[in-house]
Amino acid sequence: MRKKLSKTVNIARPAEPDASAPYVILRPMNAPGRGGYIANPSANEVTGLLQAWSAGDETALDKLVPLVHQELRARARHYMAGERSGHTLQTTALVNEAYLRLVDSPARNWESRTHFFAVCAQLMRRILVDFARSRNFEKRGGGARDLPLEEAMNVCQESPAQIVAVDDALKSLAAIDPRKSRVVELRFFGGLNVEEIAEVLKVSPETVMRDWKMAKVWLLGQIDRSQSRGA
Amino acid sequence: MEPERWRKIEELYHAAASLAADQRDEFLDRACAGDASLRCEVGTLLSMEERAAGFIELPAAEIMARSIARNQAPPSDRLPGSLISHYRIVERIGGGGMGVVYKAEDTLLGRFVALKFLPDNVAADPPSLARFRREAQAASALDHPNICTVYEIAEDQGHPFIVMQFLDGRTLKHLIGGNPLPLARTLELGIQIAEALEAAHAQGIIHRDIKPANIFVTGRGHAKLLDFGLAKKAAAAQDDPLLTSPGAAIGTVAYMSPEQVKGRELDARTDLYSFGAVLYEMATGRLPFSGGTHALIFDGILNRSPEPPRSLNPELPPALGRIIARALEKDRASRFQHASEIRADLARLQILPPAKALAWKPWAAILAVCAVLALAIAAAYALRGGRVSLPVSVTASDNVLAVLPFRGIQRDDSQDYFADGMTQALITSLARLEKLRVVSLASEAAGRRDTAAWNTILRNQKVRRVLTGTVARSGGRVRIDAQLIDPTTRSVLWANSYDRDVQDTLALESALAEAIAGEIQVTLTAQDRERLRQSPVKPAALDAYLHGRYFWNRRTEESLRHAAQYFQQAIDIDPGYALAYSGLADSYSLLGSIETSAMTPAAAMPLAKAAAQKALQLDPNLADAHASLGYVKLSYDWDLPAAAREFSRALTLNPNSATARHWYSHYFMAVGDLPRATEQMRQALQLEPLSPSINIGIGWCLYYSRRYDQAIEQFRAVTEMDPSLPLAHQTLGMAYQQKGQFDQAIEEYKRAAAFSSNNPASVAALASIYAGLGKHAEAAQELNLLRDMARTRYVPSFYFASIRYSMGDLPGTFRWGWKAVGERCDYLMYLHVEPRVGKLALNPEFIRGMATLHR
Repeated sequence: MRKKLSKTVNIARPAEPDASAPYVILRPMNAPGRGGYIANPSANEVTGLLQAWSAGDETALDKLVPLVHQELRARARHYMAGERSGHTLQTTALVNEAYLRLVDSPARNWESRTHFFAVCAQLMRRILVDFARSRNFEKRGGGARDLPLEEAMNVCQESPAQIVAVDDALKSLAAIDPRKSRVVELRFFGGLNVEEIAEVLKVSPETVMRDWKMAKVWLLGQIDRSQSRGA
Repeated sequence: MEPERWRKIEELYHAAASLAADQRDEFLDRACAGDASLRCEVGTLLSMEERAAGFIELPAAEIMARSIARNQAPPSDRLPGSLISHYRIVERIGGGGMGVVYKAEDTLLGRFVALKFLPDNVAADPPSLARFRREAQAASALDHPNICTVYEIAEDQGHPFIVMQFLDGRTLKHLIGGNPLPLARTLELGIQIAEALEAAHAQGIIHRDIKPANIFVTGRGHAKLLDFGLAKKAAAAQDDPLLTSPGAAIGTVAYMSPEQVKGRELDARTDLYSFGAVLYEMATGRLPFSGGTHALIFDGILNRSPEPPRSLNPELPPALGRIIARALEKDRASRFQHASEIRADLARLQILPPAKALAWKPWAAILAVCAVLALAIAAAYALRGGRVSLPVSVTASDNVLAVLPFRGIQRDDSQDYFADGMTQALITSLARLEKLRVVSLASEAAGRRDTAAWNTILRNQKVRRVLTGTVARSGGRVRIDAQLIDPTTRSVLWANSYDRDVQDTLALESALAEAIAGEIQVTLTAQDRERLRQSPVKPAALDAYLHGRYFWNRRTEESLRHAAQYFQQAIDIDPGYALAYSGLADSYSLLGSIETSAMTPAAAMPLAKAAAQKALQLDPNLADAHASLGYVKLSYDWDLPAAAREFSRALTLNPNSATARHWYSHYFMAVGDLPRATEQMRQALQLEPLSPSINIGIGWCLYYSRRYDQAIEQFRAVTEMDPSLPLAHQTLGMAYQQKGQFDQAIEEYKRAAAFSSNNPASVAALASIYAGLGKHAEAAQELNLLRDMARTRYVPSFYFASIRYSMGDLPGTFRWGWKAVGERCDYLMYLHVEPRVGKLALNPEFIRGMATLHR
């Protein structure tokens, strides 16, 4: 599943996205300022791939994966730059940009804005979990059970292992309460805010918050359980 | 789950969550009345609330991006090759919740170290930082082989870091990996961890976070306790944010003691509980309490009994199950009170053979019953008539006692020598008893506690009793805890503690020897009692003597010099101390031997002789002194009949003296009686099966008997026992050379050279073998090295003779050979059995030379 990742470094980046900016920053992939990337599919192609994937074409995913990875690496470079210069980045909403920049205006090519959000969240979940799994695996030196580093064991901490653990627990949650599972998917993997989730799920923002709150404690308990089983 | 039930849980959860914390219990008790499982489900959800606060609030893509950032780019100032203070970063070796760790080179001391940088959030908080420094300082005061040493705490541009010992290996967590460890491993590691805790607790330092992730196991199998300062900081109290924050790892919780869970004041016994949990995991591969949630684990720790370890791993000995259960007692007053208690219990298990050894054949069982009966009868007689008149004849094999090296409680060097010295002294005392054969399992080799080897010896020598124990010395007191164990029934036959003033150490040792003799029903003759009584010695002199023997047993040039100094010191303190004179004699004898050639025989041996004679003058019945004198007669005076007299006198006085047998064997080699040499050496080996020098002696017997394959096997076994022993490689090389396996021979000589920093023996051996192979350039290089050496130190002429001989230069051989005779080189005594001599043995000049030696 995991593709060979491009080591190409994108030096020329547009100005730092502003935390207070509207979360949807639509910018075609081939727009000026994104020079230096390897040949990428055009925005239309990305849209096409995304639609093909959501329609069940798994091969489309192979082409989408590197794009998301590139975005993650670009983001990582920002963190590094931020650490060095000593100021912390305001990260709110940046994630949305990460994949929204992959496509052109969702309004134009999608049956609905909410459909687009839902597909993007699923896509991100799939790619992030695979990526997190592979990173965990790398660190474990091949053995999945005997990871020495506490960091990776500690699924309650923000780590690739946490992403994997949440994904697993979410599958169990989906069997009991599909809506809560989607709330988590849209928020944690999709990066949507409460209003958007409410819009996608066609419920009130209050319901989303209640679902979110209970899903979190339930997931934690579930992760604890599977952790101690595996330990 | 039924949708209806889920709806109910959800409803109750939200309802309870909206209440103040102190009202929730009451609400739930009421709402869930009669449905304990519902109550539990909702309770569990509520208990997660605090931890859930920050949980998954950061989007997954951000987490991923940060992880990439963390792993791809260490800060530029910590890149490999960069210097931090005087440490050069080699590589990043780990990173976790408690900070990033680098392997680095200490450019001042030329050693590898580990640098651990504190996480920034800890470093930025002044009170945390101050506390961390205090704790790290306390930890750095702990100098123990099973504790990862903290060298210093330093700072780099405001980032504090700890400089620690660099360790190669894996954590115990990694090692366990969900499966039980082999029993021997569990015991060995367990004992080492207990010793580390013992040392820390003695300094008033509690670890508070004992868990497999904090225990490192080095490549050589040594356990090292990590993170003393950090751990104490990390688990300081219940209100510590690191424990209760979402960052708290579930792994840590599982090893918490009940008092820790309750947030009570902690003492050393909390570590013993956590250690019990670690033992449980080593023995079974599982945690004692592994419920799905913190709440369940806490409930287990506080209220439940763990599943008995033996039900998870039926191969465990019941005694280990009991040790673990006692360590995991909820009430700390019922637990082990001191780490030394667990250590002693584990150590006792360690020497017992594996369960399979008990699977006797029926006839053997019948014999065993008969034996027990015989002993019972003997005991009955003994009770009636007193031990002295024990009427049942006890055959030698009935009374084989193995003595394990006693352990020093604080394992620093000074306690090490003291425990070793006490073991030796005790063995010496016991060995003097006529009807007892004592097998010493002490060894000078590097892998000193090789339990597999022990068990083999116990079986092969049909050992019936094992003596083990610990020695502690502090202030003016000595405390010995001794235990006598029956290795076949796994029972403790007798245990006793002796706590005496240092002044009375010798009396203590005699009392112990006598008590043990009584326990194993050896008839003590009046002569035995006489032997056990020792003339009083000043404690400081005894101390110096024990130091001396400790160093003497290591038999390197440097250690022999130390030994001589200590024996001299003992004599200065107590001029009437015969044993110290004997030790001094033995030190000079080995310093002047060709193996060491630290002194010329002319300088060393007269001193050795004078010391041996003085010892005999002080105590004419001291076996050790007769052996010392015998060695001088053999190696320097070349007075073989006198040597034989001294050795046989020594063995009459003490048939169990391994050193006397060892050297008596050399006498037989010198007179060319190889079968008897072998016989004596084998007897010496029975007494000290793990002694590298006696094992090498066995190899010599085989080598001189031209049994090269067996000699190679024997010498190789010694190199495995103690890979850094130059003599083992040297002799292995000689055997290979005779076998015609020159490449292997050269390899071994090079190892001998490397481990001895080019001692003359190894350089000469290389020069000789190169010369014999026609590799003139290499031979010349080694020869020049040897000549250079000869300008600054004594290089026996024998070596130059040997090189000349390999070059085919007979006149040169004899020129140097006669010089060697003039030096009274000890190796000449064995030349007529040395296979390398070959046809030279027929040379008239050689015969004349040998005649000079063997008058």
